[in-house]
Amino acid sequence: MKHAGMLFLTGFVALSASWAGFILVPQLQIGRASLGMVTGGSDLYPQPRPGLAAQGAQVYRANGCYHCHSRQVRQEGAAMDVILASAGTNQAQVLSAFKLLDLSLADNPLVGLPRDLLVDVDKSRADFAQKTLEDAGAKAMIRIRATGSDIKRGWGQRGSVARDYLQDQPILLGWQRLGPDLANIGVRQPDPVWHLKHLYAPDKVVERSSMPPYRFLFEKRKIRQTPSPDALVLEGDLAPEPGFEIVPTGEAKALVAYLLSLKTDVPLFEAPFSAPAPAAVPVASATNATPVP
Amino acid sequence: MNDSTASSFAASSGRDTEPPVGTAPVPMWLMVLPILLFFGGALYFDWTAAWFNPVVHAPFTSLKQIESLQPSTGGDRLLIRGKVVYEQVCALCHGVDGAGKPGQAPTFVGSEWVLTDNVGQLIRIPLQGLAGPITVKGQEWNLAMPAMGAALPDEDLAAVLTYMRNAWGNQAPPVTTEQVTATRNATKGRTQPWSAVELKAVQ
Amino acid sequence: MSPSLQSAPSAPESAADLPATGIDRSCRWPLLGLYPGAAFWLALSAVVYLVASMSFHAPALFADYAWLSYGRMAPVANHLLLYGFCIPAGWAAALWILARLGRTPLAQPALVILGAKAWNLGILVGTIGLLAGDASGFEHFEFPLYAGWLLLLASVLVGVSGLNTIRCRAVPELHPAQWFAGLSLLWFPWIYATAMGLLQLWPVRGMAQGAVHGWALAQLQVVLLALFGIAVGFYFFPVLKQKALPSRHLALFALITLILCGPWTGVPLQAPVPAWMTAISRVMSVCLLMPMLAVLLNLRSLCPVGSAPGMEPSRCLRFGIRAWVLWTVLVVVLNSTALWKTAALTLVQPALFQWLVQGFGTMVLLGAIYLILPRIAGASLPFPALARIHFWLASIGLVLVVVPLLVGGFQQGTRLADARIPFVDVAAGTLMPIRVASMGQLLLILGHLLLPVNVLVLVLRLVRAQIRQVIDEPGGVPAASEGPA
Repeated sequence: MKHAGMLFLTGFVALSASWAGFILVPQLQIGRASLGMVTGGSDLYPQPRPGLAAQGAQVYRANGCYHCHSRQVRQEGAAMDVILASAGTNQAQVLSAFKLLDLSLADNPLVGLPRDLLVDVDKSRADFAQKTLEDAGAKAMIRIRATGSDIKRGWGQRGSVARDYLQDQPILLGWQRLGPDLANIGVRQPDPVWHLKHLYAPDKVVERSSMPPYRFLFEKRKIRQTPSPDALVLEGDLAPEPGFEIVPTGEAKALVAYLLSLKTDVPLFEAPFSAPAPAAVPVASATNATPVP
Repeated sequence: MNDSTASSFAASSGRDTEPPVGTAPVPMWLMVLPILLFFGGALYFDWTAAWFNPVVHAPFTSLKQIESLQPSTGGDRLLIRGKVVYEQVCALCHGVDGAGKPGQAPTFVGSEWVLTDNVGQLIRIPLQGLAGPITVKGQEWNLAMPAMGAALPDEDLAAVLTYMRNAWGNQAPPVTTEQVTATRNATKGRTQPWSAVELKAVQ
Repeated sequence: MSPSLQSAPSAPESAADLPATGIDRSCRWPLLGLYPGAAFWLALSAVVYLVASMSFHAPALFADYAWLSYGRMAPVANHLLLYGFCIPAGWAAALWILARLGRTPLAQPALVILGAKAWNLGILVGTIGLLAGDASGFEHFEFPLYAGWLLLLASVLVGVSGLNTIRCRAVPELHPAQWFAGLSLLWFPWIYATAMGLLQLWPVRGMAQGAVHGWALAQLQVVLLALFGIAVGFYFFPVLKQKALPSRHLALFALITLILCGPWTGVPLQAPVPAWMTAISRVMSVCLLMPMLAVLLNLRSLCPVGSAPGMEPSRCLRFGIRAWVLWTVLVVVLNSTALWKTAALTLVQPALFQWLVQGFGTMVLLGAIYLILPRIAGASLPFPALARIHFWLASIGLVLVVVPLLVGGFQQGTRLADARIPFVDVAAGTLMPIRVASMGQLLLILGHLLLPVNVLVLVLRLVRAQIRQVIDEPGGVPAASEGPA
């Protein structure tokens, strides 16, 4: 490359190629996407966040919450389970279907329905089992569930997909998990008072929490004739001196409204799972999932 | 201050010469590397990336895989779409349950007009409307229905008719978008609502 | 003129060349417009990193001050490092290399002086904006619009001067270092305008923002820093060693593969975008092997520089290039195995960022600063020993920052993947590496504080010499070139 013209032409081509590929095409694909329909229902998704929650997104942005919290659930795969709902009238036929499916006949399999017959099988086996059982007069259902450690932790029922962010500006995705993922915090912890208390004194609400307190979102003020209905109920060393109260500012209330609006718990075509969800009891219940009395 | 270091900093400034650039060739193995990476990358892309499909997200690798995971109930997109349209456009008079309303609109449940094999008849009703006496499941009606479906896209009209033919215990083959388009073209220009007698004459 | 300057052109340069000292003098005030600001922001960023990490030592320390909270301090530190130091220092090196290799004085130096002022003002305004809560919400592109306009203006001013320097060159054939330096001037305005425009001014919808952000991140960190670093490497290694750069073809191979593959590497593999984007990003990250190998092959025979006493800054250069090689190896290993799943959304990300930006970008550019400063000033560094100490403190500090984050990040990822471990335990496990990294940060602060000392004293001496010159011999040649009286 001896000539400057050639040099800049090369640079221009390389820049334009990546620009077209990673800006133009995603804009055509995602930027112009329409709202999706929730699988099995008729609701459009995602709905715009209500006014206060939309303001709260700006509080989240301004204070850089996304530097410690991600807002994306990772999914590692999908599994299918077959559930026997009812055995029908001809139990002998159902039991012979069990034999055909290589299922254990111990422990009286037709008692205590509905129960999981097959767990984590592939599509063809699930379909075959369902058909065999239904031919025998039983009623069998297939449950689809997302798998992965995030989902096991109870952080969501499925992986996040591009459509989840269609109403957000900025998207506030986050690339760190110094704190827990917040994609579904509104489902996991729907109590606004919990959130306000947690913002004021995280370690008093979640044991051993390493989150810094956000006291600047609250105001300590003298109680006038009547205490404010918004004032936090605080005990012990957190309580302000008598005659004073701790009141959340508008920013704190907006932020909590935003957190409560964070929900991606509906099945979409591109992120299928069957509702009602598997009874994924979050193992890590010492996180934000802990309700506080 | 270290004097020798200091002076060498300064002295070097005037003595810089830029040596010429050599023209050693790129080693053969390095020339092969892009080809290997390209083929490896293309294979990986082919396996995992679903060829630019906007709907496929990791961990899924193809549209087929996602389709196979759709719950069987409610998996039919046409029916879901039809339900949405029905509840927006039709349900006000005919009811969410399709049972109709006395003195307002006849029922769809088990209606011979809905389940007819001659779908051309059925499609014409929402396209231009229906007026005058009509018998539904042995009951006489004399009402006027406006052309509720005239403004709907063909896909939506097909979806809502398919939904009506399969909801509430009804069972009949779906109405396709092509059939709706054909009927719309065949009746282009007509603004008058149909009468039951005229519809019966439609083949 | 001082004797040292007069003796300069006697070096074995070809007769047609403009004396290197004349070129250097044309760069003096433009580059001294860029360097003091860069040095100051670098030192400040090191301090702010430490303040930000205080939230992990004593969470309640800044609970009553919004502007001191981690969420505002962390982006300030990142921006001061990347925008405050790396980019202006990179431009300074690029401009000087373009002038030197083109055998022509820097074109339109006033534009660079103006650009430097606009840039530093933009950094100041942007930092205040971040502290006030005006961050845009996109990691590393968080400066608000009102600061962005200043940065964009500055980048165009500097770019025009640089491109005109290429146009006015006296040597028709471009040297490989000129390819990289020239493109580095073209790169920033485009990526920053795209990021500003599509993320803030006319924001695209939903995850299309994520795509724009990923693209811009890769351009800034993977491509632009490499353009700066390789330009410096391809210029200084041969000059210091007085030996030819072995291959123009290898350099071309490195350039093409870098700018073709680099821009596609920015989409995180776990990001909720369609699979084709993450797949391309993954493949292209592995392809970064190509430019790295080509640069390594080209510089290998020039590498053992730095034994001579005047070669201290070349330690920085060597450290930087090695850091880049290591970073590339890490990225290739992560992306070609399943390890990326462990690394995603953990401390591994900031570790890689620090290693690339501080280990590669900052180190190479520091080397360039310590080599260029005495040349454009025509005087030795005021305290060369401090430059040496700076290198050692910075390199040891950096290793102390990056290694704990890297190890802690992989541990964090492994534990995140095991849902039986409660999240509070996972989070608590990240505190220790971050606290150890703060120790390294202390060393980095000590080191980076030494750069402004050298730069400021040098500038003061130059100014004083110039003033004295004017007073002593009115109408004389302003030769601020001699050292301290």
